Amino acid sequence: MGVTRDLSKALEFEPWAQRVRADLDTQQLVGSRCGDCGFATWPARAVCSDCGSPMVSVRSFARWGLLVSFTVVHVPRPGLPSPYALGQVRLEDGPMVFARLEPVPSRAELPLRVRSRAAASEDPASAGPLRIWFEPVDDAR
Amino acid sequence: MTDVIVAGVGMHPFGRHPDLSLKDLARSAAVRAMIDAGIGPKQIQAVYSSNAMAGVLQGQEMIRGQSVSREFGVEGVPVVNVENACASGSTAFAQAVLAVRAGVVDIALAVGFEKMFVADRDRTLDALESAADLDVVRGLGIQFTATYAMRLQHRIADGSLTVDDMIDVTVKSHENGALNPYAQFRKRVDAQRVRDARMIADPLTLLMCSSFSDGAAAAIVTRPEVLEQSSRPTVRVIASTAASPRTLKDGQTPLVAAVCAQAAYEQAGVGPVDLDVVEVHDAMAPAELLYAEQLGLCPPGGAADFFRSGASRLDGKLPMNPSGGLTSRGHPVGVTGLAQVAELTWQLRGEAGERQVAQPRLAMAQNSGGWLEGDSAACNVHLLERSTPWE
Repeated sequence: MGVTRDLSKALEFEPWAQRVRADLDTQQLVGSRCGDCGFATWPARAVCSDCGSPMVSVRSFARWGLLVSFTVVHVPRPGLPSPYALGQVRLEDGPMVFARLEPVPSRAELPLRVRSRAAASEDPASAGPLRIWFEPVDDAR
Repeated sequence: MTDVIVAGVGMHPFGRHPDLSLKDLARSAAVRAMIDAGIGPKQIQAVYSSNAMAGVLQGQEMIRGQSVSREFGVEGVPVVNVENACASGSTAFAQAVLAVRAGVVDIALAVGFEKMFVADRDRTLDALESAADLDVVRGLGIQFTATYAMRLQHRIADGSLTVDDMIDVTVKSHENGALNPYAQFRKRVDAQRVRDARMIADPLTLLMCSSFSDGAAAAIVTRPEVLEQSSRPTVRVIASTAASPRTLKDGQTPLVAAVCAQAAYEQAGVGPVDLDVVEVHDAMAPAELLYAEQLGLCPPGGAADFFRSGASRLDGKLPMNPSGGLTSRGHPVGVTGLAQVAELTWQLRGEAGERQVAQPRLAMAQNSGGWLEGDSAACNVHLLERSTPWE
């Protein structure tokens, strides 16, 4: 599918460890979008996993999304509050992402509009430089 | 396509086995399978070894298959070490089938073994977390209970499943497990106990979730003309399909279990209506409801009606998880796929004891593993057929 591109461009994409996943100033998630088919992923990928094209570029996504589902996990894990919540979010202009969710809504509110948050991580060694999560927002934005 | 048959299967009962090593567990399953097939170790020409976590948990990061196969008398033959998280067992089985089908070997063994109970429970949870892409999920607290919980929460929110549906399918799972001497949990549970059990990941309670488990299972495959004709019914592998997931694009991205099931039906020239018994990957008991839809056993959104009709009970039209499934049989990660093959082989032969379903001819095994942001990372579906008519 699509045009046959020169794949050698895929060798030049920045290494994984250097890819920023969120913009701390704008609190937007940062991923990639394919220049050929428009497919978006988070985190960024060096080659489009949908059409196979290397014409991908790093892009910020709009903060807002729809919380499709979530769960509150009661089994403690090191470095996390107990309990903690995980959410599945469909970003408005981007991909499906999974992230922490704070505060925790009730099931009755699904689907629920949420927005991305980003802050410097408290535990960079285990969790990376950024802490990323989603928070419910009311409809009047 | 060249005929491949299951010549023998064997299992070590799942549970806590602190006194048994990986060698002991593998030996138990492999020897039982060889006895079942009527062969000796020197007739095995290739070993496909399935194990997911012995690197992190037992330190045996490499050559896990070789580290156990000499114990049951097999050496000198090709050994392939297979890992696909919870789908390792069916992946190993699929490779054994391929090797025999291609005529590279006449007789191949697929053996799975796993020890999940270790001194520090957190190590096992860490190992399980590595069934997801750690670069993406590290620090999030991804646990399998949570990934399944999110799928089920969504269905409760849209009204297509209720917590009672989830509780009742858990009760059914444990009813079947109570009849299975190989199962880790062999006690029936009532709905109230399931409802009141400790919350793990909303809406999943402890009793809905499969547990850590130690165990082993093995299957020996060959072509029909290789071994002496057995008086036992012949079990043929009539489809073997595999896939990895596509990144969720929109609401329409087909899930990997659905893709594999559809490909299996096409490969064998059958449809879901032809199935007589199914073993599905219920890492959490309510997932059986989701897989009923994904495998085409009932229409999308129809899982609750399908379950409520009684169709998936042992005495129903299409029994699901007669073994008790992962939830009550237990889920030693690298073993489950081969335990499904063993169960279905016994069912097709009429050797399943108290949990025997009525004269099954066509069986499906669906084994999924790992997680890639919204879907399993791997899936294998196999179709097994009894080609000897029931009397």
